[in-house]
Amino acid sequence: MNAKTPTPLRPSHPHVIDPDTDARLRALDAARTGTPADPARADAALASILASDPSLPATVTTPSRRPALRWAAAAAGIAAVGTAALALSTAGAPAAYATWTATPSTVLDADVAKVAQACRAQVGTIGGSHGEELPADVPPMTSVSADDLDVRLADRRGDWVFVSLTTTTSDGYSWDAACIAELPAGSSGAPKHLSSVASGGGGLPAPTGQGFTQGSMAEFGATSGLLGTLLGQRDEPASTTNGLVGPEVVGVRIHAGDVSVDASLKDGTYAAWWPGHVIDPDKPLPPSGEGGPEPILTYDLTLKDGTVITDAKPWAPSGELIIESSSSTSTSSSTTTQSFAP
Amino acid sequence: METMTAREQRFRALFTTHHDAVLRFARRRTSPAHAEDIAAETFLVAWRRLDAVPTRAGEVLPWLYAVARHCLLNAERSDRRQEALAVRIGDALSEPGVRADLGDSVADRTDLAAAWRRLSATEQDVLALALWEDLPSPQAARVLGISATAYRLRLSRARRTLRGLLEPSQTPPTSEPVLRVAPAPQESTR
Repeated sequence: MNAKTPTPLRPSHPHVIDPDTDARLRALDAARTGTPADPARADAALASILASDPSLPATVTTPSRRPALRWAAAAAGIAAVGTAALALSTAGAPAAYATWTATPSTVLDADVAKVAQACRAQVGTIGGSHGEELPADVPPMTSVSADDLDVRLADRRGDWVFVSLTTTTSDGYSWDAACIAELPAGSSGAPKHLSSVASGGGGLPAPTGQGFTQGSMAEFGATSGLLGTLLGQRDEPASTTNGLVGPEVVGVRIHAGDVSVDASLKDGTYAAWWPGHVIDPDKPLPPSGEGGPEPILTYDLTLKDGTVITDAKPWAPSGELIIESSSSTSTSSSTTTQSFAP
Repeated sequence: METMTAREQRFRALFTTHHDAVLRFARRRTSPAHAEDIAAETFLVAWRRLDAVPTRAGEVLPWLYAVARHCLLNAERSDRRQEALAVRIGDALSEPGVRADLGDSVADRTDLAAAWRRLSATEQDVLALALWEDLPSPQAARVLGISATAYRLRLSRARRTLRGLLEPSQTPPTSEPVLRVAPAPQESTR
């Protein structure tokens, strides 16, 4: 599978610049210079692809795990939205979430432990620069191992178990990881179709009274935001968010476009996930460091006395907040690594 | 409904026929090592979406190039948003295999390479599809996800800019600076 002379399709243009310049430019073809391609690697790729089930998240053998989309943004006003997504995964296929319920149910500790363990394994390390150059105005990120994250809350929605993991490091950063995995109640098997998102942020002050904060937001798997358009098919992603509530708040209902979801609440925090988006998928991501797209979320709060506050406004964090988010998805036995912006 | 065997056979044929071309496409736009990943990812998409792969001969490669291009753009997006891909140019001066019968001097080639590198990513993108992928406008437009008319317009601008860079005496560099600094036109690739 070496780089050979290209086979022209059907040249319709007699020349691009002029015959002489074209010939000289074609001689500078980067595909024909440098180390020749290794046919054995192409054969290995073919075997790897054929060995994968075309209807499941598939794995291509690649030499290293490429960090999923990382997006650092400085935003004041609302918490920056970190979104990242995945490719080559069917975790976001609409049918996959058929059992999802808008209201969470309790989940067995044993199921939580299974998903949390798989989640930590997939997330690995959160933060750090991964050797990439960050914009000059973005301070370097510290990092934390997912093994140091504790289960903050967990719930079950149909066949899906959600865990929210968190910790705060001594430098004041708070770190979140969230995972969803298919693990039907009563199942003795391993979690399947695990998707994870991880983010780190400056942390928000705990709200008082009826207040609440918007913490990190992310999409688990906008598998085919770009490719889907191209391929005429769009897998449905799943999104998640979390935050803090004041002591008066006993219920958080989140509206994300057409989807409404009752968040799980525990110890002053809330978290939820749903099939769908967290930002408008038709609006492009801004360049990093230039704030974030507006999330499509609205919130209804239920207070202790039964009062419902519709379209409640979150507490604005003071100053700048840096959020880093990354996301990946895998089956229980394989990992996909390519990222796609939604 | 194809059987798995028929499906595999079709995919093997697709891979064998087009892998080299897709790899070359990627190598023009990223490092050789990353290009292999991009080619593999492109064919993984094709494997999973085999029913979406065009069957007509002239449409297959543009489809695969478009997938590869999205893979490349998304890899680049980890740090910044991009709508166009810079296209690398070979270091012809150190390559023994480059044709030496074109009569151009080392200085000519250096000038040409320098001029190429001064093009914007958008200009390199459109020119490369015509020059190295050798695609007619409708197919090249499909790779970029734009109309054939928009492609021809971009190609015409890029051609003019390159000519201007190669003939600075006739076309002062200041005559069309906007072409080199303007952002990609808004008909996006999404």
